[in-house]
Amino acid sequence: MKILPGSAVTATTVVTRYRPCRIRILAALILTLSLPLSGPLLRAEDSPEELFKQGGTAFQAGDFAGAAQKFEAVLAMGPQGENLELILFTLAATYYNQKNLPKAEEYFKRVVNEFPNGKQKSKALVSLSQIQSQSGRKEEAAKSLEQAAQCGGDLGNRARFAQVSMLMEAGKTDEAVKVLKGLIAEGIKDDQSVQAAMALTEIEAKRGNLDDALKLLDRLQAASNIVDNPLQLDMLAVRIGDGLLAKGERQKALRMYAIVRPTDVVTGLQKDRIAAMEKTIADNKASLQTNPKAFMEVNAANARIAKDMEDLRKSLEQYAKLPDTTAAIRLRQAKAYDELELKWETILIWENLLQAKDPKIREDALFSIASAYCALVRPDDAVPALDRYLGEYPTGKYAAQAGFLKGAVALEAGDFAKAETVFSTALEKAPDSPLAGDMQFLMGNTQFAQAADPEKRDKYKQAIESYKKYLAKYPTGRFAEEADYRLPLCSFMIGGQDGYSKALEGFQAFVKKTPQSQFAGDAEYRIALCYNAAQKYDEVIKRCDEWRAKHGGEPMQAEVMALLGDAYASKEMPAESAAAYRKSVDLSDSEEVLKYSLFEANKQYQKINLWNEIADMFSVFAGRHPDHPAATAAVYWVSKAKIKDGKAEEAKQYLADTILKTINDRKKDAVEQLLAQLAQTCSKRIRPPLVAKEGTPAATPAPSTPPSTNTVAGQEPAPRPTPAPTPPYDADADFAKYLNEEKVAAVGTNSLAKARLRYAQAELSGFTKRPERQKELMASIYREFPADQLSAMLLAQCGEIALEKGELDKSEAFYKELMTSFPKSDLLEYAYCGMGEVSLARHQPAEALRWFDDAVEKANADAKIAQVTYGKGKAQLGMGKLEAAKKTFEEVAGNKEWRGEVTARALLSLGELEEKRGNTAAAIQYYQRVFVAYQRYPDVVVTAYLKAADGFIKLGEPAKAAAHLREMLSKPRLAQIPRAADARKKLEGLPAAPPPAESPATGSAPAPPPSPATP
Amino acid sequence: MMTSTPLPRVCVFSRRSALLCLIPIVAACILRAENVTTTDGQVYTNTTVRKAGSNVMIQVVMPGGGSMEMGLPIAKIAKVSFAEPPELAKASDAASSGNAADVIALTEAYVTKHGDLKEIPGSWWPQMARLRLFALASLGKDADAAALAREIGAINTPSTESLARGGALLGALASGDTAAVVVGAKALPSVGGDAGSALAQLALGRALLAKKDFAGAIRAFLTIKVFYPSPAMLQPAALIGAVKAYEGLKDDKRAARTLNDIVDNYPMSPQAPEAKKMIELLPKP
Repeated sequence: MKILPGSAVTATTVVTRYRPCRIRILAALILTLSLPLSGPLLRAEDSPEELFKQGGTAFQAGDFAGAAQKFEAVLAMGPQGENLELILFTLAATYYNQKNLPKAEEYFKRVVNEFPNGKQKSKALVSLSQIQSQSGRKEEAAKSLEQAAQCGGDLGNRARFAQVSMLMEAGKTDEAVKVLKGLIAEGIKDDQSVQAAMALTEIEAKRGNLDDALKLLDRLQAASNIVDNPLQLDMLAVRIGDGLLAKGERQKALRMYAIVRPTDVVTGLQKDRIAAMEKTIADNKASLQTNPKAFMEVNAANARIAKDMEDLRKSLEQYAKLPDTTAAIRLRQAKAYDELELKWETILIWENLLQAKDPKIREDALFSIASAYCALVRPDDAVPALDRYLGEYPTGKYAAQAGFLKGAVALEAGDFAKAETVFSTALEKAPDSPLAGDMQFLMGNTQFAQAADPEKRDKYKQAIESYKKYLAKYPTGRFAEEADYRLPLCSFMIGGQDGYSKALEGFQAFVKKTPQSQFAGDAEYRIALCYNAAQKYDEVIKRCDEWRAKHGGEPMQAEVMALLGDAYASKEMPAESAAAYRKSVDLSDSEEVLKYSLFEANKQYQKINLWNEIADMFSVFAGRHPDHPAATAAVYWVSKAKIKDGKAEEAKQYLADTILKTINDRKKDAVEQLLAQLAQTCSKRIRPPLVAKEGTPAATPAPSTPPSTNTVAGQEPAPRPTPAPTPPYDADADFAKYLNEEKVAAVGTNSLAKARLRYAQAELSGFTKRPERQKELMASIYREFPADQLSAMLLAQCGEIALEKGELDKSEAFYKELMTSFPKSDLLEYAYCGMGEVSLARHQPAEALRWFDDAVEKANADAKIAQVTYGKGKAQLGMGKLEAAKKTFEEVAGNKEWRGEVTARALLSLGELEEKRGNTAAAIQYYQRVFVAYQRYPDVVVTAYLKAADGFIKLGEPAKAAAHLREMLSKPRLAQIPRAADARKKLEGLPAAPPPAESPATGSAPAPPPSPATP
Repeated sequence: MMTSTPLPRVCVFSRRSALLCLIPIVAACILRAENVTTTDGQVYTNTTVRKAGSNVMIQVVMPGGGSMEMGLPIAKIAKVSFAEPPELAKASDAASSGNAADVIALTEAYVTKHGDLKEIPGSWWPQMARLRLFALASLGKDADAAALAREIGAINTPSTESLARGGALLGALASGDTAAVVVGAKALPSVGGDAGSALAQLALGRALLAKKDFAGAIRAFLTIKVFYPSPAMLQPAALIGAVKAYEGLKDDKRAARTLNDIVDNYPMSPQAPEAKKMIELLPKP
């Protein structure tokens, strides 16, 4: 192949691939055939065109001397302008091929010097640099390339690549990097910038600048759609990923490995690129049919593409020869994710490896997936995965671990029975496996855990057997000490005289044998508990004191102090008992113990009338644990203690002060509870003690103190003085002393505080039996305050008010705000339940059912569970699912804990359901149950009466219908309800009043009609 | 500049008549191009380009003055060197930090105005539209994303086709057809695919989340993290999806860890403020 020297600028070790300047001389020659050369008219055979053609033919035949002669002849004819430039360039190329480098250099220099803005300048400079480089004049070569690079455009960029190559060869990496950075300065957006980025990435990776390499690779990955050589990108990613992993930078390495695609995908992409290039070449050739003059450009372009295609083919061939590294890379990814405790990601990688169907890694993959699920505590996925592993590899290298994990995961998930079965089976199969000891011990634990079920108390005995077996076989095993401790613990849990006796003996032996054990503190605490069970309270007190001296600061100290409190309480020593409980409160980390000790101390303090201590204790508690569930109760007890202590004003002030601290905080749900408490406290006059307080208050005297301080032994107590008449009590005024608009404004002017004040006033109206005012105040909140300013409690209440008024959109807005702004609130169930009711009111039962289901699933409905279940029944009824609805209503009606209005409504709905089924008689029975048992709910009862009357009319028993309606109207509470008018109207068309008879509700329905009324 | 063409001449106009032609040209979206290279190697420099039917109309200056507009079939265009829109670099930067909102703002005008030229080799529209598609997907504007994916699909290359298929699933998601999303996502490779697969996994994750298949949703979202590190804009969207799935599984620990990842690694993403809010609401240890 004849080439111009520029094309030789391919030698490089670092730059993986770039497009050197390649100009096929043939193309250039043919082009010239179409160009008119200036000069006098000559004979055809001597014309410059003919001479140039002859030169071209000689050049093609490799006769460079002949070619040079012809071209020199053309030159001698004195061409001008572009023609001169072209002939100079052609001559330079011919001499280059003739290896006559001085001559070639001379003509290239003429091109550069005589045509500083010529078309051939950059090509000539690149070629010149080659000659200079070959002649050992590196500096000159570098300068020539620099000049070529400055020409810009495509060739300028190619010159820069050649520059990089030269700089790298000269060890001038920093300068090479600078040139490459210039090539990507405007982003990675075309083939040359991709190549530059790849080269730069490679250099940075080799220089150890992995972070820079990582950034570049990220950018390349983002531009992957224009990367011609996907193989190269993947290989770079692996290399950099490995480097990062070696440095322990797992997260970064993982980003690199993520770029790597499966072998078949990458080779497919590479083949696609090659095919696309082949097509381009063919298309280009075809285009010459219509435009033969473009031969030079087409030929040059095709030559470039062919070279690139060759490069791609070579790398594909090399890649095909290499072992498939995808699996190895995925394994590295899996390991890195596993070490980062990112188990879901680990599973994805292993599953991807499984798809490769490589038998060598299948076993590892199956087990790793299963163990990752175990780590995620997902027994539903872990157990099938472990079964799959054990199914395929029953005696595999992980078989024992898989069996162990299967039991462990069931244990972790709380499925103790299953765990026991798994461990037991595994132990039977492989009693001497390396994990047999662990399984034996854990089997004891599963039995111990199961024994918590009162119906499985015998499991404690089985646990004892398991622990004994463990100790017999593994006396120095890693769980030996714990098994030793658990043995008496089982006896302790069995309880009873025998149990405690054995436990005492066992714990004492354990403490003696291993006094430094981590279980020693617990064992000694349980020894004291055993004495407590035996009612040996002095021994308990002694043991607790010893425990404190020996194990003070250990986690059980709050429990020990609570036990001490119990012992003193049993000995009727309330002061000591209260002090011990109080200490327990101070020490406790456990919510359960904290609550227990707090309220036990409260009881003891009350026995000795130490209300000030109660106030102090709860006050400290509320201060320390403002978000504790018992914090509100604590505030209540503080206020109560103050009242008992004769400090009613102080109590109310305390409540008000506590409220004002958080009245502007939307997220504090307890504010409304405290407001209700203050309202209740202010709702009635607190009578001062009749007897003057002296030392301890007289209200709840301690058992050992005389009934009254002014009682003299052997004498009747003095008669009570007649109290002076007190002025009428004004609850509103009393409340306003502590909480009013002025005080609220002083702590903030937001709407929430005002709304909360109004809520408190509404509560006060409720406590002072003014329901209309209560309703009006609540309605004013709903009317005047925007939803996004209200607290969760107020939103819930406003939603209900709007719903009652039938303003469904408004109600929805309140509930939605509650859900959006308080996603973790305990009151969320009100929103879901309310939305269900809104949907029911909109006749969208399916939607309603979803809301009610969500109320249970998402909001863990508790306070509203009865209403939610009832709503669910209504939705099912609306959807025509009569059987499901019936079951749901029966569930509501049958639940004793829910008994109340919802029960009445459920019965009413059951009646409606029967009516839908055409069973009027059965429906009437349900209606009758409503007005017999639920008179407290007049709205429901009136509906039931009316429906029962309709039922009787339908059955053709108008007299009974009339009797029911009359009975209803005879009850003043029902008669005043607006809907009673319906009953009166209905009655007009029914038989007149019968003579006195028994209540229609008491007879079985439908009863025979009563006898006609006789005067 | 080459002045001859084998193709039919559409119109020749002088400076005087240029005004008459101006209105339809402006309306049809016209862009300057440094070079227009045809498949047969001809290069037309410093010209304007617009599309008319299946032809590309380019304007060339006549040697004797005046100019001529001529039509070339798109298939005959090897490449048009359009000037890179200045918004592209900014949008790319915003995209790499996951800042979908900025990407939306930066790409809106270009994608809306220059859709006509999307099929022309060398058009910047596919790159701008691609960025915009990921931004829309990231912001959960599923219907808009699906519409744009359809437009991208019209370019008809393997990568645009894949984007169109992935984007179409977002359309199904927007219309609540989660079953179609689940089926459609299987048609694209979950590993070893391209950005279209990443979009499909995002749609799948969201669909499974709606179906309360939390484990399935986690797998789909994390497939984007594990196998498709780019496009970066989909990462925070996938991670926030994973957080919701973790919450569904009551795995607060992983949810918290992932939320912190979003805040730390994609602070400019639309998901970062949401993540911060969610971190505040998480139960404190």
